[in-house]
Amino acid sequence: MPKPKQHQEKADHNRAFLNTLADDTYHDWKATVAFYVAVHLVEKLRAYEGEHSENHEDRDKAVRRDHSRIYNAYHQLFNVSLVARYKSRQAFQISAADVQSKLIDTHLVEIERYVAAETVARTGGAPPSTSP
Amino acid sequence: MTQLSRTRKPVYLRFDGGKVFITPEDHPRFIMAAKRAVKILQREKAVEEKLRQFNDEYLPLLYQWCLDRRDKIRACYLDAPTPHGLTVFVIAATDQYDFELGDEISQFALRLEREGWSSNILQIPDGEEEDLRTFFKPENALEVYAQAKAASGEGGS
Repeated sequence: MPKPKQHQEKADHNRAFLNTLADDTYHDWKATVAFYVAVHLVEKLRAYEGEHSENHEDRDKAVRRDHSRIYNAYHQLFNVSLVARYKSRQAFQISAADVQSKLIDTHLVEIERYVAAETVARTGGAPPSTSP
Repeated sequence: MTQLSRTRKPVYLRFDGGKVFITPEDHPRFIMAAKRAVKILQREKAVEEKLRQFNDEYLPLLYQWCLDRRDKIRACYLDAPTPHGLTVFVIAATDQYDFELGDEISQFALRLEREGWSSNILQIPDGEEEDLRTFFKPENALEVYAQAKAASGEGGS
């Protein structure tokens, strides 16, 4: 089972990739990558408790139960990424501007800040680097 | 050749003066069986009670929540339950993902979690019926709420 540090590394890696996606043609993928940054940040929190999510449903429930403050941010990322992945390309109607401003700059940043604060609370030290 | 050294006999009851007595040597055996029976009955009762609450509380709550947002919601389906709880698909009234509705869904899901009805509620922008099959099988789902779909592209000039 991955440790908190490994989840943070994966989140940082996904975040770095997200930051390279400048072309708005692929904003459906930006939404999906943003969600997978959030997935590893949530898994990092679960790993502190010795937990690991079996699937998306299990993780969503864990956020509702244990991290309700970021539930809306996490769930909207999950929901939009689901629509981005499974609806046809034409049916993904969210604008590139909304993906950036609502999903990335608002919801993902909220989760990053929350997890950074939780990391400090759990380790008593500075949070590992994040690259928003 | 296997030989049964001892054949188990029924627990003997004695009725005396309106009271029931169990033969002392059979008493522990009877109590064990009775405990198992009580546990099964309790489990069944708990399941029946939860089913009653599901019908009388959860479904009306979900329906009313959708009805209160009828300008934003076209339909609502409850998928077959999983070990992680209930999955609800809310079909938005438009083909756009509605962030405001998303906020309301999150608040409602947190409320349901507190009330013991763990539900993963997902918003699907409206589209072709066939699109729904990407997310769940309508024939296995419960249609909790639905508005007639507005006809489009009909009538011509």
